[in-house]
Amino acid sequence: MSLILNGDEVEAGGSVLDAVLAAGIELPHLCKDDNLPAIGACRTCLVEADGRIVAACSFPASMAKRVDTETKTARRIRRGVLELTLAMQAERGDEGGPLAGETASTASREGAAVDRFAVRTGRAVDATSPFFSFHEAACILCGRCVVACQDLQHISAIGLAGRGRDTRVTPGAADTFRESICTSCGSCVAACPTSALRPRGGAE
Amino acid sequence: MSQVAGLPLRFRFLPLLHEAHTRDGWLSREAVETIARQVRIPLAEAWEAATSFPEFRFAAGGGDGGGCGGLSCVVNGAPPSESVHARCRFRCFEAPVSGGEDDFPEEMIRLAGRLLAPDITGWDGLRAASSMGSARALDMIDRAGIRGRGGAYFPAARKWRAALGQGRPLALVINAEEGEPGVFKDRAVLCRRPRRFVEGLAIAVSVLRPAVTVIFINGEAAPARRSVETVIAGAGEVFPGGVEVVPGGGGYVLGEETTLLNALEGRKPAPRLRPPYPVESGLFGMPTVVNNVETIANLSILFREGEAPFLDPDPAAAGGSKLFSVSGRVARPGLYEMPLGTPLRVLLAAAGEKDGAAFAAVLAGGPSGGFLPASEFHRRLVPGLLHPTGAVTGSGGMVVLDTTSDLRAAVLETARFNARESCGKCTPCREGLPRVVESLAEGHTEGLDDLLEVVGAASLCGLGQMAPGPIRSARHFWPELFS
Amino acid sequence: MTRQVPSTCPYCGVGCGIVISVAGERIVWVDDQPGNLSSEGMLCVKGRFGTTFVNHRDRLATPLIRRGGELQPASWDEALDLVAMRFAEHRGRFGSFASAKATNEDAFIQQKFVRLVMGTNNIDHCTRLCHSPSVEAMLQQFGSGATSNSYSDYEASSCIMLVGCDPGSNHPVIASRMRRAIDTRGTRLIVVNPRRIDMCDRATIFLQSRPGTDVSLFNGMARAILDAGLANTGFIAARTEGYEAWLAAVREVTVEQCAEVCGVAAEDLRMAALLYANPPQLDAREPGSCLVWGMGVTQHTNGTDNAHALLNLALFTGQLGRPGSGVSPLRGQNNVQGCGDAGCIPDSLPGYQRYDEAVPAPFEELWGGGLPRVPGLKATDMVEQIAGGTIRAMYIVGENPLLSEPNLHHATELIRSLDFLVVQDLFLHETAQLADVVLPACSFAEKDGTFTNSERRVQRVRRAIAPVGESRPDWEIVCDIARRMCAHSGLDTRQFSYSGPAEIFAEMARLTPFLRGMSYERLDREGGLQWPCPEPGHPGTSYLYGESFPRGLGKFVPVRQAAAAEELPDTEYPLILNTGRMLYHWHGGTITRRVEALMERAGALPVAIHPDDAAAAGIVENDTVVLFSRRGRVSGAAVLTDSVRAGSVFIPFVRLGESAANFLTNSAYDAQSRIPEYKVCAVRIEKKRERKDAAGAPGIGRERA
Ligand code: SF4
Ligand code: SF4
Ligand code: SF4
Ligand code: FES
Repeated sequence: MSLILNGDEVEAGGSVLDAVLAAGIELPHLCKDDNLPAIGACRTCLVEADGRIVAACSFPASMAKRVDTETKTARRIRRGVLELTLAMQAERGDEGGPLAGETASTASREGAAVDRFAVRTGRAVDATSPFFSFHEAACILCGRCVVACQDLQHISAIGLAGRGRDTRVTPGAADTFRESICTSCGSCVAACPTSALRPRGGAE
Repeated sequence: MSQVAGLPLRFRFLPLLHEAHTRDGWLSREAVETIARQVRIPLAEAWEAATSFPEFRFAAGGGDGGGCGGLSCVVNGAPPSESVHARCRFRCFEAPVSGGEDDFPEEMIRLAGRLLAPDITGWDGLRAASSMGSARALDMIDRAGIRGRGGAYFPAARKWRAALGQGRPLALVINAEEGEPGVFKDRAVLCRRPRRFVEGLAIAVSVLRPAVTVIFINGEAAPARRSVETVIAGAGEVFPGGVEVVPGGGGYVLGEETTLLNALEGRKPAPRLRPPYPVESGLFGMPTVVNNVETIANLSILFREGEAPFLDPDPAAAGGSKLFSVSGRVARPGLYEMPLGTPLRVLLAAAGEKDGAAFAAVLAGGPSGGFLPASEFHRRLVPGLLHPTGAVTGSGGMVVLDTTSDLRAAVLETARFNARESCGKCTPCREGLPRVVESLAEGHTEGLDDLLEVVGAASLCGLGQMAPGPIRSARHFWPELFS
Repeated sequence: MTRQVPSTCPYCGVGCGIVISVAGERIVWVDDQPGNLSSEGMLCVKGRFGTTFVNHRDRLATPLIRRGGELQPASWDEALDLVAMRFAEHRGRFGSFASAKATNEDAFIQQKFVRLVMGTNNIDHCTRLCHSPSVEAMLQQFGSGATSNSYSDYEASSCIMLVGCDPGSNHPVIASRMRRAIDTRGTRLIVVNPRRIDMCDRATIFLQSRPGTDVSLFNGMARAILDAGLANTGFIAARTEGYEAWLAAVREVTVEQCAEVCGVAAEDLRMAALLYANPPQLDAREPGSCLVWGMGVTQHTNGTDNAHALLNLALFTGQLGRPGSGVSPLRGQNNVQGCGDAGCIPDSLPGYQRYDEAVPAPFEELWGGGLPRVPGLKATDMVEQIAGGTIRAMYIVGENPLLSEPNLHHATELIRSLDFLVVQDLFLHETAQLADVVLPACSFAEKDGTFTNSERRVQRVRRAIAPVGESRPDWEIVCDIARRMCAHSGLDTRQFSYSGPAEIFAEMARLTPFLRGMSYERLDREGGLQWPCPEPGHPGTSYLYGESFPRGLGKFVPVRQAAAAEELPDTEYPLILNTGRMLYHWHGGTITRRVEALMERAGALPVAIHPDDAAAAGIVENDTVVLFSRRGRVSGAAVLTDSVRAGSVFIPFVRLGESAANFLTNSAYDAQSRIPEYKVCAVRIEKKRERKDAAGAPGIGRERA
């Protein structure tokens, strides 16, 4: 299977995002972990495929003939989504797991303004686990931690409770990670693209 | 606990939650965890799912959110409701409404065609379909051009063939959730014409031979559920594999097929990624056909009366009649069965002006549709877009505003509704819609069009993608409204 | 500047792939390795957050020599000279424990030293304390003692039967892979355990059997399968022998009788048996069943019988030798498989080559010296025979027997009475405190090598940081001692001069037929490889016994239920004590007690007790309680739970504070494998009385008498 990607013909099997990354093109993909299935929630990987805006992470390359990552529309919409994403974060630090800086660096690369919308975010902090802590003020509800816990480790200690604007990352029905069935495996921390889930104390 | 043959235990999750909720009036953590263990759903997953249904409460006490804050009620004088538990009671024809759901009153069937004619007796249509055999029956559905009445108007025969073509045991799911304010047609059919629907379902079962047949029905729509359950119970041998009637916990987003399937599987009701499409891999991985109540009821007509009622030399009007739910500022709110392709003004004329005030606008297609001004009432109600700014025939919900109505408030209410109904999975819809509401409420519309473009183009499912419609159309036709 | 070093987790036998991030010679983060075929991008808390022990302040920095009763810092030369001299004096009365935590290369060199230089086969490792009955039984019945299948088989199976193990705590990533099969494919799970483990949440059938009754359980299952006509007659006829004799033993019992002995419902026993014998078709794959077990089967006086009973069931149903089926003893330590493969067992040379016929010849030829032909002593016997004088000097590498041996007070007395004890490890643990010389070894993060995991996969370990203090890799230390002794023994010092682990591995591969096709070059390029891998082009083997067994036919071994345990409850000690593990600690805790976060999460010894028994003893949640056995006592915090059967208590065998389960356990042994009966002993529980009594807390003396 081949497709025309930003003007060049490339071979592609999996998703459009796979093809884009394989070609060495940078494209935001805040909810797609290379080790986990696509979620399709962050909507930052938008590209134009045959004139339509699609999410590259979940659009099969076989269904596209021509893909452009840098059209005006695609860039504008990506930027808009990133601006909405940044407005969820009162904390934008990169202290955390290996990917903690991903959201901030992606947003600045795409030229998203940090102040387009007033920040509105939850402020819960859960530091009951000695291994990691959770800071809601940095969480962008991308769902990677949930997929890591539920679909990789099959533990299901963490989830996205509630709906709409009330959606929150919680340790299931428990009040704290300590009281939950969390096994402290840290897969969620490794997957988090912000500093919302951060390891504690480094190697001290 | 009964386990539906061949389905994982987790299929019982939603019914058990609903049962516990009905019993206790709310769901405690313990209740959810107990049920989760019973049906083997990992805990966080169960909690995610349970807390995502708007009709479930997680604290004891508290009212039901007061009166309905839906658009039909608002234009008839009800205060817009801010309560998270405010919900449409789907009796928009009586607006303003308070209290729970009730049986659908016969007199609200204002104009009956074939579908709303007095209910059938016997199972002649089913007999005709069965004697024909699956292949010929499918051809007949194809020739009649029956399309999905849930709002997408996808040809039923194509959907069915795609599912059958997978060559695996399949699932038939009837979406009777009907979560769009201003629409009450499925409830009407289930309450008042249940045999019509049940015969259609039996025909579908005889053609598709599904391994499992499910009716997903709104949890609050108890009268509709009882009515259809009674008929099914009496139909006996007609459903050799049985029919599962699953009561849900509400949510407009359940109109999206994959969200509905997630709900049925005991998962968080949020859209799945496509592909795979439900016809390839739907309920528990089975090829799955999801159809609307009205679509299914039409099969009964087809196999009793032949293709003729569905054919029309005018392709836009082909496919038979459509049920229109008309509410808001009209003299005779209720259900009107008219051919597809009927001009909007004909429908409005039938409903009549209320208290002598002239019609000013119609919200066609509900919160996912768009507003049309009087100058556009000549448009014919055909599948698809009625106007590029958003208005659609959709599932046939028409909310009417007249010169006494506050259009600005109406637009705001649809925006609020969409923001409230967002499942919360994707960023543009979850984060963007509340910003849209803010911007409308505060009246600063700078950057609003760009934001609407982002929400519409970037959102994962139809809810977010179509949410800009009412606002965009209102800004188009009444540019002075938000300036 | 951080750098990333791919390696293998040092904790359990799952053998997860890790990527160590290092900044300034400290480990700052441990990531998973998505491409690793054993762990597929998963890790557990110990692998991810548990490696801070590497830089712990307790790490031994220099060699220590006992002078005037005190262990005092010494130079390497001083220490090694002393060790070489004293070892030489003790030839003939010498024994050695190898470490199942160290690399294959470390293990290989140690057994080479013990055999070639010390002239004895007295070398063993901790498998004695965990799976020796499994290994014995598998050797007898199949001719090989390894896990027959791979983790991928759990995911391809239709039914998994977990017996006497708690993978959620001890093999977390295997548990994840099983949960994945259950959640996504609908694989059925049968749990057999006296304790309700976490995996029971997903079990189709949970048999909460009495400890020590496994023979009845499996004979009962066999009887149920027989009665239902589900015996795999084709497999039995073509692939096995000894069937008739075994069948006679099974016919002696009924399902009902067996269920009665085990304390489970006959109907459940029957259902489980039929599910295992005839697993459901879930998808296009041929349905198979996996039998997975742990120390609940083996750590009994009838451990070998239990293992036989279980293997008979696999033969009877033909549930092995195909994808999605097989038998797996879950190996505990990260390299317990490799330590055995490398020859650290008293009766075989590397590759489980027994001392018969032509086997020693290639070794003697390559090594330029003669090898002892008398089988050596097993670990438990080495300790017991200190008393008789057969063993007077010991070299203990990476083991802490004074935490892992049963009946610790007794074991401590014996070890204390040795003439010369050398301990080589990371920390000054209980055993090291009694040593004459302590040698500081490198941790996994400071050296190169290989580990072999529970599915026979050989994987690379890579040096990520410089050695802490003056510590050195085990193989280097052993080589240094050996070279000092070569001269006296007429050996060529070049036998112990290696350019590095790659060269050692090459020698091991050359001498071990099932590793012959492996090399560092291949492991680096292709990732882990599963043995057998007999030649360089061979892809490795994911499951065994597809065509035949190493011994030819599979052999049924009739077994009958013996006494459930040597020590059973009586009026004075009315409760059964069951021991096991917990997620947040590793083994005896020597390492995990030095990970602060793990201690913060799990710092007190949890004593699980049934609410009825607690009520009878007036105990409420979190009370400090004391457990007494005939041999000692420990204290911990009460956890009231109906996950244990009424009449039994459970504690993990980690040492927390002054309490360790093995102060209580019985040094009764299984006759064949010499495994101690860790799983069952009789105890009494009391709520801790105020202060006065606390002074008598148990412990181990800090100095040698
Ligand atoms: S905690 Fe991290 S991984 Fe989880 S949803 Fe929030 S930002 Fe995403
Ligand atoms: S650390 Fe806990 S919440 Fe995170 S993935 Fe592991 S079990 Fe789930
Ligand atoms: S499962 Fe075992 S090998 Fe894997 S990370 Fe945990 S302790 Fe290490
Ligand atoms: S990466 Fe595609 S939607 Fe998030």
